[in-house]
Amino acid sequence: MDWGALHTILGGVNKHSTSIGKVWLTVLFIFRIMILVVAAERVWGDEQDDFVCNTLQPGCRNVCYDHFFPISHIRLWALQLIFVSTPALLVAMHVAYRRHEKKRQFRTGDQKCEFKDIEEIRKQRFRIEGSLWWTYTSSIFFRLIFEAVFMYAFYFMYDGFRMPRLMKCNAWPCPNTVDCFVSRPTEKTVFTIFMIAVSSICILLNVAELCYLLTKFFLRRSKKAGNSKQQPNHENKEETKQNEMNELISDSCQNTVIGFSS
Amino acid sequence: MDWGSLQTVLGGVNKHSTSIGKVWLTVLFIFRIMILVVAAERVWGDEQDDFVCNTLQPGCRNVCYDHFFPISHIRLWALQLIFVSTPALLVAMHVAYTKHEKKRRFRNGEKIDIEELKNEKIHIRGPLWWTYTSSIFFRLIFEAVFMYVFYYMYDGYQMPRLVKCDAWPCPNTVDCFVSRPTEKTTFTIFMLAVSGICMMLNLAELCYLVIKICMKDSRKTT
Repeated sequence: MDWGALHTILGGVNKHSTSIGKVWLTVLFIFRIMILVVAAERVWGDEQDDFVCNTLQPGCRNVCYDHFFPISHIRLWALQLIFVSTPALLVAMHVAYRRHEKKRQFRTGDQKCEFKDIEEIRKQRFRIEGSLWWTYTSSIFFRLIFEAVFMYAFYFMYDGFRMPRLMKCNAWPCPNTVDCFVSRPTEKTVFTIFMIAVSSICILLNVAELCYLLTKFFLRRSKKAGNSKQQPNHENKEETKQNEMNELISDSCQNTVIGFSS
Repeated sequence: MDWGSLQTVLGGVNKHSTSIGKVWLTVLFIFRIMILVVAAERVWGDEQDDFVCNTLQPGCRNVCYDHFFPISHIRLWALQLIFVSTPALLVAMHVAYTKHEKKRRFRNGEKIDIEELKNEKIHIRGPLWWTYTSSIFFRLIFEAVFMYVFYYMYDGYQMPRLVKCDAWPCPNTVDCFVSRPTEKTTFTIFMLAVSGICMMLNLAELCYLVIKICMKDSRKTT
């Protein structure tokens, strides 16, 4: 189970996202996860080996490293990316639940079920309305909370986003005060600022998506108030036919864009 | 998520590129990303471990390394390759949007053949031409910016064997020796040359697109 597996899991969620959601997912995978794996992990790779203290006292280096780096940046970013990705699974679970209900209706031969076979149920793309809208909106809200919490945790733990070259340590067993030198501080500062910037872009995308969903919700409500006389059965049959065609078309769209497949 | 996934993502974009665009993508993957992963990362692998300074002063080596190599070549190349690849995603998003619009028109009752829509190759004209051209333009900008950053940060493209360091806590001036300087210089010049080739391919593609649109306009007026 690694980042590739997360990519596969979230690729399936992509199908039911809004356009802004798809952009957010792309930014997450290319500018955050990929940068983390391909570049940042190498930069922090030797962080303890090349953390050098000006003392011969055994144990002093270990203690000072632990004092100044309670949780490494890399681990915090990995946790942040996992927490930020997982609310999307709420949406996936909701969609799976709906599909399960439709399959159950199909199996019990319910007249209300408008699908011809299981394959169609499996491929159906659900629109973001009703209870799915609430699930989707809550998932975006949780994403925002997690992003903000982790950014604050970084700021609080490391007293800002800059990595200093020198740290003065006086934890026992270090004698008096000892100078300790961090490995690659400039490169680390650059990557920290880069990851913070991309985090902020992701927060902005999430806020935009939230506004878009709220706007859509209010527009739909005002449209419903105007169209309340239409028959519900006729509407369902129209939607079913549209869904079937949507599937054929959206498959071709999916192959065009980013290779996230369900 | 690694370079292989980037290849999957960009592979989809390849379908809507011009021939020059396809050549560019091949050069990017084989002569830049593959060289980076297969060779350059090993060359720079021991860059800090084998950066040796002529002093016993603790911390001096760390500080001198940080002073002379603020961002490692490998990281700069990784960032350059990611930034240079991503404008192609603008094109992919535009194509997806175009198909979404056609789907919406179909939903509203216009007669469009589904099979044709699925297999359609979108021609590069109209607003897609502008998106494609902007993506090439951004690629060129990113390539140029990174080449300049390299030149500025490392004072040229040659890796010196010896660097003289006097940053605190080093006592006076200390001689520090870089690991594998000749091999690093070779790879830096190679990556620079391939960057140059990619920039020329992008320029050629830009000229091709501009000429195509001018010819189409002149055909329309005659």
